[in-house]
Amino acid sequence: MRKHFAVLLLSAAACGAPPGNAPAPATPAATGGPAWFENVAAASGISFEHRSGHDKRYLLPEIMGGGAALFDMDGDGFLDIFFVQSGMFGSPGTPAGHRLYRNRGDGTFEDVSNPSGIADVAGYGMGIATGDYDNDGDVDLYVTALGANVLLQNDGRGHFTDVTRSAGVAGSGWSTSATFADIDADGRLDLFVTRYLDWRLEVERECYSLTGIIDYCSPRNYDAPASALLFRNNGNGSFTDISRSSGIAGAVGNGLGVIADDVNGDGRVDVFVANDATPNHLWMNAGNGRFAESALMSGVAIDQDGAPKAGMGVHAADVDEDGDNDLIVVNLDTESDSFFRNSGKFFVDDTANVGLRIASRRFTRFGVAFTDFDNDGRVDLYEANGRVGLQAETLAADPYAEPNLLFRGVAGGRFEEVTPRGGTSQPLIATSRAAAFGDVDNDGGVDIVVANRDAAPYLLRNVAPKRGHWLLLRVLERSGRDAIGATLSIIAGGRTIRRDVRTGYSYLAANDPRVHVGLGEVTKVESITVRWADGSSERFGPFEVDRTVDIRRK
Amino acid sequence: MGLEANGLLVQAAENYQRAVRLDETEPRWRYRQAVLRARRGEHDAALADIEQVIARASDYAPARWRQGLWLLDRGDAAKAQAAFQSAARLAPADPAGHTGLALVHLSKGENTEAAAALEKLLAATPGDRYAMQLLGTAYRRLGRDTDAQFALIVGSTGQPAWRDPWSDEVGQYRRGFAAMLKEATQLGLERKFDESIALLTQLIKLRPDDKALRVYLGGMYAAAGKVDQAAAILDPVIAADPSQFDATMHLASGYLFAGNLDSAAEYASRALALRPASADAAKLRGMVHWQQGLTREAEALFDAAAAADPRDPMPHVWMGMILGQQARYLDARARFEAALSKNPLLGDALIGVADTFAATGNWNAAEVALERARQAEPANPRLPAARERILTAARAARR
Repeated sequence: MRKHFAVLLLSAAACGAPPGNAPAPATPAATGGPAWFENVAAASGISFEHRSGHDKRYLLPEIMGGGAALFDMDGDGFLDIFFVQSGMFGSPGTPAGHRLYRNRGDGTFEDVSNPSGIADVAGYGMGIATGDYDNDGDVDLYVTALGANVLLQNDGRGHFTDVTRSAGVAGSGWSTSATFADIDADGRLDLFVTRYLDWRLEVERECYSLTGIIDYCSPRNYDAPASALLFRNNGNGSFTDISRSSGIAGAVGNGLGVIADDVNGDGRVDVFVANDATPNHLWMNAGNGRFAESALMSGVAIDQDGAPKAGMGVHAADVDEDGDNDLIVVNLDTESDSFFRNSGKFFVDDTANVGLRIASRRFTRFGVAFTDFDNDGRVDLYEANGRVGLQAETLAADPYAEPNLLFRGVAGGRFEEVTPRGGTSQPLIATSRAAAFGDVDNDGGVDIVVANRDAAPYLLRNVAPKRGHWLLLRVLERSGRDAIGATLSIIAGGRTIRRDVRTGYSYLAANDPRVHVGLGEVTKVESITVRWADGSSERFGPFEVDRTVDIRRK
Repeated sequence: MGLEANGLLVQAAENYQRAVRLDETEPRWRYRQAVLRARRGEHDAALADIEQVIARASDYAPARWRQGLWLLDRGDAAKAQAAFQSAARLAPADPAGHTGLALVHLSKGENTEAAAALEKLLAATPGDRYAMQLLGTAYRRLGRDTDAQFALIVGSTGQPAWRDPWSDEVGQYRRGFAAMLKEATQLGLERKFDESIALLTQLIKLRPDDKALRVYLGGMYAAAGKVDQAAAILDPVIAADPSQFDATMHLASGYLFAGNLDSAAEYASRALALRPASADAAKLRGMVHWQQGLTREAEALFDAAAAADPRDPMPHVWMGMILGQQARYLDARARFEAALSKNPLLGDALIGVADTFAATGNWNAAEVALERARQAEPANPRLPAARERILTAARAARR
């Protein structure tokens, strides 16, 4: 008891330096090959500026936002953009200032926040999930926040109604990334919401950087990890909170990133949560609405470095083309990425062997995705970066700003950094958080939207040189809903390529539901077998390349 | 080193570079330069530096294992293996080289060899949790799931903490508020309360208006058993801001520790009212109830604490103790085992298991649990008495 007494006292009071203490990287590489992206945000008419609400005190939520989504709000075939605004503390009911931009299809965007109803949404915003929860053929939105989250029902013409109360999905606490997924294969999208930690204004502390300057605290300073939330879709517009009955509430962590994926190929969708400074969670779907946490035994709770890292963003893709998805979790500076290769029964930390141990650890990474940006048939990797703690050396006026990273997928399943750093002609430096991925201009190259803290976002148009052939697949259920959870086996050029229909990955982001596949020199796709979320399969094809194709369940 | 220790890493690197130019024969400066370069991701330069360090200090084992780790980061397992072999040869009693060799085996998929190396290492240096974690990884890959589970749970809190005197010496140059605060915290954790209080008092002179620091000092007084001094600091804070949770918790703890259960109950109740969902507040209020003999109320609060923070094994341990006092040994054991599922190395829970087995006459199982407690937490203050009690009773029963 005496021992506990001392620990209790000390754990409640200790504030140390935040962990971000790596030496600042050398001046970002500005030399190298041609650019892969150009930032066209301003030229496209996007005037959004993120506001963290930072004033005098260093309040932890200020350093974590904001979010972004790419989705087609009005079914015109072009991706529109939603920016999640953080806003101001202490003014509940005041609109956060989220912005919605409609893609005109000509390279420009129109701010439709007011007519869409988005401008009225209140709360200190964090992230966003997209999915057609009511199976009416249009994309609905779920905006996470510090406090109550918001479900916005789309009327199909780009107007949104707040249905949070009737749906019963407000949740509580500090929600971060969320994803829609059909966890019980009943044809209706359920909702998984990660939460960061139990934070309120009154528990905020004073922390200091190593150089003695007041700064944001590490989540370790609060020791208040939270459990995630799971809402089952009842099919009548409402959801039931099954966090407890499913087992999800049985484990806590500082949840930031989430992805739903059938990691063991049993036909049931599992959920991986990237936790910050606490071991990651892997919720294995046992059926009957139950989940079992098995990250440690599956080899993804921690990586070979032996301690929980600062898990931020996450993505899954079949990097080694063995038919199952591998995982990447991005972390704090000084900590490398964690690349977990799926061996079928468990995961193997293979970060060094894919070439990500060294280059990744220079920066603090948040948004992330494996995507074939140059359409050469191999997935590349993009990471959106920005510090969470002050360092002696700064790279821009914003002391938390860092350049982003782009890695090219090369032979042997390895990755090599692309220079100029981040793939733009001059490295862009900001405190980047969410990165949303999708083909904004429908030209077959995947573009990126990056939300930057207290700054304007990037809209990175893909201008990668000598892009290969491609196919963009809109995979739909009978209702016309994007078939989130469906798995595609694409046979082309003698290869079998796995892709998944999903919108929830990266960090605080929702992404293009369409499946993009780069094909290199291959000019024909022989067939595509879709395994739908309920386990049934259908075969489609053949397909000509360099086009967008709809695949609808028969 | 002063610059490096205080986070001015670019300036530190420049100075190490200058020092290397001034004295090429001294390997330590180049070693520090190499470490900083590796942290910057400049692995080629770091490896070139470490080669030169090894040329000048061929018997310094940490240079070898660092070289091995950096080579492994690049995926160069063959050269890493040679580096770790050198480290193991130079410092055979140090786990670093041997663990590094196991890492090489794992990176090459040589799981049987990795397991053998780690089993040998753990036999020589029991309790190395990072080695246990790697062993669990090897077992998992070998399909030895039961063994893997135990090793992974035990090793889940482990990370390499290998001896490196040329790095350790940097820490002594830490200066400034944050460093002093950290040192005060460390002293408190080591139960050197007077030294910690002295340091915090110094800090308050630097920042007389820092309320959080004042609360922290009050907490340290409470931890030191000096509840009057704690109250002199914390009561005014609470009077000015009745929602001050930490100050309220500290005073509740201080009064509990001093045996003033009425005051402890008053402050613990206030803390719980301030944060009804706080596991710590529920634990503390439950503890006060327990000390007051109100076990039913204590049980309810320990249950609430366990629900609020599923990671925490302690509410289960205390529930086990309460149930043991009520002679409900099977229920008690279930609670101790619940605690062990969260921390398999928790001495109090292992002793609890031993006690429940002893109470039901299962002497062999009691002795096994005691031995596990001895291995897991040899310094547990309850262990000597528990051993004496249980082993004496076992001998008597067997006569």
